[in-house]
Amino acid sequence: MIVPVLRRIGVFALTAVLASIVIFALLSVVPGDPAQVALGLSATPEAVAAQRAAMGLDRPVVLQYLDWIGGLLRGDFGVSAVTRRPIGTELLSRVGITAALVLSGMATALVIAVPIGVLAAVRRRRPDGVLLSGLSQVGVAVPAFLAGLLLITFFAVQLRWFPSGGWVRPGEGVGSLVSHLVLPAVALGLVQGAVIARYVRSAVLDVLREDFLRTARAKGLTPGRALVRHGLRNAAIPVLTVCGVQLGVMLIGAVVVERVFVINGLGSMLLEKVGTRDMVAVQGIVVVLVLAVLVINLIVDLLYTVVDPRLREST
Amino acid sequence: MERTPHCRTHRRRLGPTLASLAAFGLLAGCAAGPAPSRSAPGEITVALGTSPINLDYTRSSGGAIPQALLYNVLETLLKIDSDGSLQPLLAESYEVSTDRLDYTFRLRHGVRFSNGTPMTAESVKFSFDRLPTWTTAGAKQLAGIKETRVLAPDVVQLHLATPDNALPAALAGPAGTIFSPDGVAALATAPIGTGPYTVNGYDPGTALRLVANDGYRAGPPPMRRITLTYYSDPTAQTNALLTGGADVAIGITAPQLLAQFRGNPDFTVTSGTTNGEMTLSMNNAAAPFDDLRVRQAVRQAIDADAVREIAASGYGDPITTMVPPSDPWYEKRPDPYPYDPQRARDLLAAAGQPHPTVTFKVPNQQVYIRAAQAVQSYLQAVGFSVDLRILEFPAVWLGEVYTARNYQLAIINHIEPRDIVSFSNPAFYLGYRNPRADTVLAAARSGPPADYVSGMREYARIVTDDAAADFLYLTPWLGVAARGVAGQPQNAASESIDLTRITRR
Repeated sequence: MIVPVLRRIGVFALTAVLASIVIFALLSVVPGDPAQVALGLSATPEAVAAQRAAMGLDRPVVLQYLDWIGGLLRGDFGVSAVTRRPIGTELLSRVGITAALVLSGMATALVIAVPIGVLAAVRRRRPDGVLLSGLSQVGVAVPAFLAGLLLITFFAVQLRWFPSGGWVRPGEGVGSLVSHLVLPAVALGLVQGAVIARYVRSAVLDVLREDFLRTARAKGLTPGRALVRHGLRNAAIPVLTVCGVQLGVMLIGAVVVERVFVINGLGSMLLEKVGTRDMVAVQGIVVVLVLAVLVINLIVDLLYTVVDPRLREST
Repeated sequence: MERTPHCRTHRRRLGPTLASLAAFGLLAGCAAGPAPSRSAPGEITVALGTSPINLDYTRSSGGAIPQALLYNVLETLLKIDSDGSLQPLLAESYEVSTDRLDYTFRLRHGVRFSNGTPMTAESVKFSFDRLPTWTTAGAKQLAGIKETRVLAPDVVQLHLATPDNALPAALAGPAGTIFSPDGVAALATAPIGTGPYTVNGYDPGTALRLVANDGYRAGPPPMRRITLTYYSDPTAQTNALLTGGADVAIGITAPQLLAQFRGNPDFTVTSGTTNGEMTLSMNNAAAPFDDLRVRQAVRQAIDADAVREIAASGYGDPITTMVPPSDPWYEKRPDPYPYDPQRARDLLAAAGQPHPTVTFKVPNQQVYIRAAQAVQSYLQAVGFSVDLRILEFPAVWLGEVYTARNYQLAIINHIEPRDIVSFSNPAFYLGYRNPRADTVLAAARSGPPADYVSGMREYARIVTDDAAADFLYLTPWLGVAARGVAGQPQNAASESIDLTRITRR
């Protein structure tokens, strides 16, 4: 029991370290000088050189990496040379926002995907089933930013039901949080919902063909009851896998949605930091995202054992 | 599997229900008035564009920092008002010695920094003595101050090396900010000043919160709180107005968005002037623009009014040189290089370069791309071959154009006030060198004040006739205010977005 768990943790840690090296290497060759950007249009060459020294950019790359990774392991993300603030506190304040956004996006996606996928599978030979299947196909092709812009134009600007963007201000209550969350979550969830719906549909189709379902019907269960009691749990495994993958995709989709809705989460922080070449901050954010994806994979693995008892021994 | 009877009736009821919901929604939308503002009474939310990278303009660049802090939080001895005139601020008055090397300022009484420390001549000396620690180029405008002398607690004297007629205006810029020795520990996150508002917190990239400085010398300012919210996209900036997320939008960079507010009685659209010259830069130090005739050809090939129509939807003002109408030495002079494509072709032929090939490096913002595409087609019509390259701004564009000077044509909006003097800066990226012009400028700055304006006019004429760059238009200052908002700055005459008089009913 211990050895497999240790092995899992070992793989996790190795992946994280390798990812950090790749990130650091990639970002050190991106064009654009962080010192020049920090000092801007009117800086003299001497000032830029002094800034590079102050930012530690003139040291060998390996030393810079070791410095950074050493700090990370102590929980110190460093201080941004651009904003002059500790990166860790900025990250912490933004992680919650993006987490709320992505989780509510996933919830929206599931609320959309499961009914549509099941109906599309069950009624696959009827016009409404074909229509649902077709809609999900179109939904997969819609980019999240387009969905976001359309939602803002219609529900925020025209109907005034929701704010056009931004986040809840300190002092406003849960109602304000929810109203700010609805449109971005729907923008994220609509598109992912369409993707997951296709998987739900094909998983349910597979289950509908199974013998045990025919047995359940023979025992006297209605089609609906048979599907719900016996079929859906089996359909859940592939859907769970897809959800895990799509959650990672959603983290990236959150960057676009946060930009469109002007939400100050991790995604817009990433965009901003890349623009100002705040490399240490970008490294920190990407490490957090990589860790998030690894944690999601771990949770999905554990959920398999919960959903399907047959998988419990293999851990 | 057979259909059960109740399914059919459910489906029948769904359609009409959906239709009536949609109709209700549309009706609700049509009937709604302006979205109520989310700001409490005594508070105002201002929607702006690019955000400041931090709050320290002594060591970090970007116009957004002084826009937010200058005059609102941090103050100077003198101030440039909305109409471009110099007004007293922390100084009540000043006298200039006959040799014009000593400027003696009488300071206002009873002024305190927001942390309670009194503002005295010592604070002024401290502030000007630390100018060498600044890394931003603005500090160079006060490089002529050789010594700051404290003559009395409320009297301070600036001693110059050579006379400088540009000094008073320079003192009104960010370089002239008066700091307190106990207020500079955390300039990037919590600058301490004497202004009517203080910084209550900054979420980088999102919102800067200002609160009223109750100890302000003239009493509490009009508002209790001002929240500056930042939008990288002008559409989101104006959407915030429509949905009540902001009360006023200032500095809108997409003029085509104003159409939806015109004629709407709930909003007021304002259009003012800036110090921003939309400049088509030519690298004077490299071929083919080291040849005067080729530069002249570029100026005559381009119809600047048409470019302004395309890039700024007709807003903004025409200019012929790097001098906006708010500068004291502005003169309405006919353009020495009017739009004349045939003359442009003749000039290129005379220069022996009928078909020059040039690269054009453009920052990746919509207004620049639109203007650049218009310029490209005008130049190509007279024989140029223009390779338009869109570069990430600021990181890559700055690196290639400003630092490495690796460009032939570029385009950028130069926003500093009175920046025509850049043409005599050897480090300026245009690579323009003209010793005669430098002499004229030096004479204008250190000569008798009565000759300052005429001297600067002559300088401007020399630089313009040399076709050092092409100045396409003066960028407009566009704003939209919801009903009840008053006192917002009509023009961007200084580096500040002056919010000291803004109010909301």
